Amino acid sequence: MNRLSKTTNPVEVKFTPDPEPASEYQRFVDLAKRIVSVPKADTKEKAKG
Amino acid sequence: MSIETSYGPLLILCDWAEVINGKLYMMGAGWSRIAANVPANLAVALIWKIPWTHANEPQRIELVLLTEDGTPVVDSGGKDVALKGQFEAGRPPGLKFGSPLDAPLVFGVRNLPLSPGRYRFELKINDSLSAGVTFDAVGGTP
Repeated sequence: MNRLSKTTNPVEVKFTPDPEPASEYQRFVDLAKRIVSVPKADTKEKAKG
Repeated sequence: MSIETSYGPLLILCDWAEVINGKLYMMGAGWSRIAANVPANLAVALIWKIPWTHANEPQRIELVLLTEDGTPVVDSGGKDVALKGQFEAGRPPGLKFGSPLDAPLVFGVRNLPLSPGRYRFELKINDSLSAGVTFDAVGGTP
């Protein structure tokens, strides 16, 4: 009989790695999306004011 | 006489390590010198006996490879050679009350060429320095 099989560790371990940091390119794309997605209503409000 | 039932984390350098069914399997463990300027495959095994009272409590873990002046080592992609995340060990049913929780973890590094010098893996748990292991990359020119 395999002696090793008699040892056990029933403890459940959970490791959750941090999300990968965004690359320079991805940061640029995210920034561009935020700029493009400025609501038009805001600009109209400012124009009226 | 008191019996120590738990202790802080222990780091072991090895060539390969893996956690299978809660147990740590290592090969080529216990070295402290590695060839410099050669793509290195290595692993750091973490053995930690978490006190019963800290079960099911998320712990912030950062295992970072540093040069001897404390600068983080980066890989060919420009990323830190590091393992960062949340670590948690749970109490299984039937475990004797008060038992420490055996919580192994492995960090593998592949194809990392290191310049000659001294390096150190440092482990921070909840932003507090908890363990470290030092090794030298030898041979080649600095």
